[in-house]
Amino acid sequence: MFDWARGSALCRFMKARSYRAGWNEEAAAWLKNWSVPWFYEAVEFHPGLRVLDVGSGVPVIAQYLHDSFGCEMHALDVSRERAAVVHFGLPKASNSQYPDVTTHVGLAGQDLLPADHFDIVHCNSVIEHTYDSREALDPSAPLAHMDVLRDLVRMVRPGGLLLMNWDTYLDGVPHHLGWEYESDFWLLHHCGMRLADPRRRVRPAPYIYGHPDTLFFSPEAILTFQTATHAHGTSINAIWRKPGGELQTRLVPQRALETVYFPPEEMDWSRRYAEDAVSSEEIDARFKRYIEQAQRALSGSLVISRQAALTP
Amino acid sequence: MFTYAQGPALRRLLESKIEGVEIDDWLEGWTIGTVHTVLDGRWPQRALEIELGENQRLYRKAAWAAGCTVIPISMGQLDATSERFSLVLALSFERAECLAAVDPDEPYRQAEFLGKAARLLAPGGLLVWSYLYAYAEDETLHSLLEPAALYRSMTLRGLEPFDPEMTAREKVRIYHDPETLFVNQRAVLKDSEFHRRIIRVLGAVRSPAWPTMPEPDPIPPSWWSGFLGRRRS
Repeated sequence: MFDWARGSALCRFMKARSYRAGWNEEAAAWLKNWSVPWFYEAVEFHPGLRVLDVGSGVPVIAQYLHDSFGCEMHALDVSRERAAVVHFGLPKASNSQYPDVTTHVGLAGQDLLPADHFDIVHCNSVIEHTYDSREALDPSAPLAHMDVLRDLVRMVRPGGLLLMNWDTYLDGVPHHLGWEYESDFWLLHHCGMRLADPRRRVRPAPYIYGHPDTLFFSPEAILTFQTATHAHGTSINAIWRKPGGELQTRLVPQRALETVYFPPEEMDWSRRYAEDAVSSEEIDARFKRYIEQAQRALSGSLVISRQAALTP
Repeated sequence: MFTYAQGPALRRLLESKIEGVEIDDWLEGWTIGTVHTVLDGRWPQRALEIELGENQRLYRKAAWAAGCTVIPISMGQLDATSERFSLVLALSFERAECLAAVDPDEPYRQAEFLGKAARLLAPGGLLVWSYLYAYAEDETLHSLLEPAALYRSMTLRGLEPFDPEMTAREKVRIYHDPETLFVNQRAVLKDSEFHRRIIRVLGAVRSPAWPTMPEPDPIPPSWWSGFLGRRRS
């Protein structure tokens, strides 16, 4: 499943009184009033599902999923003191304030949690922050977000879902060098992940940029960056499925919202995947191979030093 | 310097009557004219050209006329070359990369190739590359590293923009620029079943020159060197 922030969809979520769909000033500025309800109406949450919220910050969403649906909730994030951005990270009192959520302190990409463990891994507005504390092209780890993607996928159990959001600047990509949702989609696909429902067309950035229904971040959100390259930011959501197991839940349980997720003009009914059984180990190995290749291709200085030139 | 094929630029090149500039399906004429403009007739004595494909390379005539020896090598020989050049050309390298079926096991060959080419630059040397960039249509088509990102991967690793005023432009802006020229549909459909939008981009970066070393203080001649000097004369 694939979608991007669209005004028509937001109206439908608001009419359906979906969780967090509304005009909350802060949420609306970053289109969280679209991306959060999109996920929670797309999947049928139920007791027994083991769900991990990656980059949870204050784990309110995890608590909501526990309270509303009885899911076993986990949250992974750095401690607030170590977060690169103020107000990010898990606050100290999380364990006492949110006793139904098991918190794990750390970062995606560090392989902290067990492999093939969660029915659902949820990652909203996280991947674009991979580079918050350093230059996008770190010679020791170019394209570091690929390692984050690898770890997210690693934690999903076969048949489980990866709920993935990209907050992306359609005309400001070089800010996060080499990171764009299109290449991430390619990477996930070629490593073996499959969109949970492939019938919805995946649209490239120029299409979304020029679509009249597209919502962009509000000016106040954009201007926090104080740079012209962030003029057109939007939110992109996708649900990926890890092959090799049965899906433990239903997608789009509310029939009334079906056309939000599957608008006729965006559908390609012929789109389907061949069901190939790629093991978790193979998926992880493919990710590692691509990451190695990116490092080889993009790391290190390209300028010959005087010393090296004089050395025969 | 980062640029892409645009209508008004091609028209100006045509009007300048530069040899090889023509309206063709793959925008090769634009590349030839742009390279000519970048070099402004100042060809070095020796230039390295990484040969990709078998197209006519009309700019070679201009190089020869200017007394430049163009040394062609294949992509496979890059690793074995140790000589440094003040000009390295990697033009139309989509012949090897972009339009070929993308090898899912080698998605970063393009960046790796340019990195190898840049390592053959002498201090102050210029690397010029051009290639076609195809916009992706769905998750199965690899959109190669965005042209602006590829360009910036070069400057962030120490190379200097050839013309800092012509900075990289993101693919979405290029797509929506009314002056952008896309590859002719006849050319696209001949090689691919997808109806893709394809642009041609060109990048030029310079290896930083070594700082000029101050001349050493002259050493006063000793009686011995004076003696040798007299004998030699």
